[in-house]
Amino acid sequence: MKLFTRILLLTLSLALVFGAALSALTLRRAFLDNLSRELERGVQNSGALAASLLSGINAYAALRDGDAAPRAARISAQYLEPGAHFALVDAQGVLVFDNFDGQTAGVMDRMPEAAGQYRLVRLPGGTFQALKRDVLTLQGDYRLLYAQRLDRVYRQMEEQTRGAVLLLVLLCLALGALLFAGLKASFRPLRLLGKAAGDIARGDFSARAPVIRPEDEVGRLALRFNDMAQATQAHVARLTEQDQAQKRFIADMAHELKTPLTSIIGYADLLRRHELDEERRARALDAIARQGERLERMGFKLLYLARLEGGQAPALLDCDAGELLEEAALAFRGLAEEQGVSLLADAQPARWRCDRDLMLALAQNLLSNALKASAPGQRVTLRARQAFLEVEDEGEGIPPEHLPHVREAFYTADRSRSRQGAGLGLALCERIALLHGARMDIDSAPGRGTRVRVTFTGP
Amino acid sequence: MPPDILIAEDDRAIAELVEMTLRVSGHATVICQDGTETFEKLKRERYDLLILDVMLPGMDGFELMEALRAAGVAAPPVLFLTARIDVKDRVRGLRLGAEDYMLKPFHPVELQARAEGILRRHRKEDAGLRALGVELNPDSREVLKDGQPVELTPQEFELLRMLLTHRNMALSREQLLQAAWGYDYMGGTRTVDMHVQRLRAKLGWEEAIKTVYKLGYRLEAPR
Repeated sequence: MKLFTRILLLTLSLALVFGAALSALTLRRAFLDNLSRELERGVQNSGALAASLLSGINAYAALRDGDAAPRAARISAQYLEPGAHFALVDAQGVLVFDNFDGQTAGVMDRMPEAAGQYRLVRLPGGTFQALKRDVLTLQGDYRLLYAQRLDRVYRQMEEQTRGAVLLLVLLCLALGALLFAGLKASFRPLRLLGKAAGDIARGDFSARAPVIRPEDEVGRLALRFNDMAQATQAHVARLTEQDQAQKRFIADMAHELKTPLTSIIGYADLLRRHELDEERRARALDAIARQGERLERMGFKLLYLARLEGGQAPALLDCDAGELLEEAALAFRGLAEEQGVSLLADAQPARWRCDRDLMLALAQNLLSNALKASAPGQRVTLRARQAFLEVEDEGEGIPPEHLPHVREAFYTADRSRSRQGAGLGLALCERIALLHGARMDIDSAPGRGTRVRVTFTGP
Repeated sequence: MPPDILIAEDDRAIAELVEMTLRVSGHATVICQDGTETFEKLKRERYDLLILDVMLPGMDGFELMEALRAAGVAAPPVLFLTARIDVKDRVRGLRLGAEDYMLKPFHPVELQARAEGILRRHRKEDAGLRALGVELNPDSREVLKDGQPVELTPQEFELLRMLLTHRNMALSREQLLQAAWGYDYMGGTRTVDMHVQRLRAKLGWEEAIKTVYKLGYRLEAPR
């Protein structure tokens, strides 16, 4: 989860940098305030010391005390603040008094140049405010060297810094924990989306991503993803169905080829092995010829179907509906007469844009079906109008349970197929109609007959 | 002779092919093109064998067998004849008690042999094969000509058995070779000719065993 880690680290480090910068600024400001206050105090304290030294020296001098300056200094030294040291130097540069110790003596060498000034002196023992003042007594000029420890300010700063760092670390930990939980929750839909994608990749096309917050980016992505999965699933289902239909078609075709092949192979073998009498010999040869023709017809229809399945657009030409109807009917006049069925061609003047050969094949297939279904004395009507082509019979009709399937290749109403043909005719008609942008409607009732109408819907 | 075999097959051409094939070996047959009719016929009449197509109008072959069993009809042995390749279907047919199963397209010679096989198994009293005064007993491996034993080599015995089973049907030299010597015999088909010559001499069947041009031999004998 790289993005997760990146966001987590980036946010945490930003928070850390801002927090650190902010506290550094605040701490520094507090430190500087503290320091200047402390320095101010140093100035005041040294001023007070200078004043007490001045008055002390003057007072001791008035008592004619020879050691006025050291005595005054000793007295004043008793009232010094802790951490303060001073030295007193007379006009000749002789050190009159000092209470510096070993640790602090170094400050004396680093006093500011001029009186009334101060500077910060950093020694291994601590940081000091070093200050020079003139003490101008009646007995002569003295110089006060004053040093005030500033350790408290620095210590305070260190303590505050430590506190701030600790607080910052704690804040970052808390922030990290909150971020972790928050990000984890935000990334959960993404993880689930990934899981759904994985499921689909492994072949489970019904997998969907849960949409937890449809209004955010991940939620919208999940919605889109699910749309895509839906489309893919439908597509795969369609392909699977097509594949199965194809397999069924091939299996049916293999089965359908076997009936005529059985006769051809069987009779040929019988003729070869056995001396049949004249009559049976003739029947055997006749069967071979007829079944051979049946195979040939089936081959033609399959060829047509295969070519039409290929999706080649037919050559649409203007043709006369009446002429086409006559030609279609002509091929079946003899058969109709033999069966005692009257065949009527009823054409109104019309011109169709169609592939003449295909339309002829369509009409003849419908006619052939109508004749097969008809009994002697019944009528088969072939109708042509500008908008449609229609074949109607008064025959046995199609049982309603078979009606939805009759357009499937190799489907025949009767489970045994030998009397009805291979069941390719209507499949072929349907393909031809579709290629012309036409619709084929079958209207049938058992015992009342069947009407198949091909309606031209295109321009 | 009353019909002894019922052919239930809806395709006219195939039904007639089966009929012609069985008549060659001397059987009388009846054709029925509908499942329901076949069922009615079997309830009324007795046959020695039923050749049954699976895809029948009215009632399919499987349904027919189930109906016969349910109705308690003593049905004849069944030889299934079908274009269905499915192993499931074959198993179903045999489970229902079919004796044998043949796929379309089939060769009439094979149909003849299988039909004869079933008939022989079911006519126990008539276990031997007979023709023109010759009798072959497959169990004792004895051959009698007009009641007198004839000495035959194992190959000649198998040749005779094939010819008797497929009487009036020509058999190729390869078929005879396979039957008498087995599939892996490497010798040529001339061997068959030699053994057929000897068989003709031993049985006095110079006329009965006909040489069929370009094919092989045929035993011509009435049943």
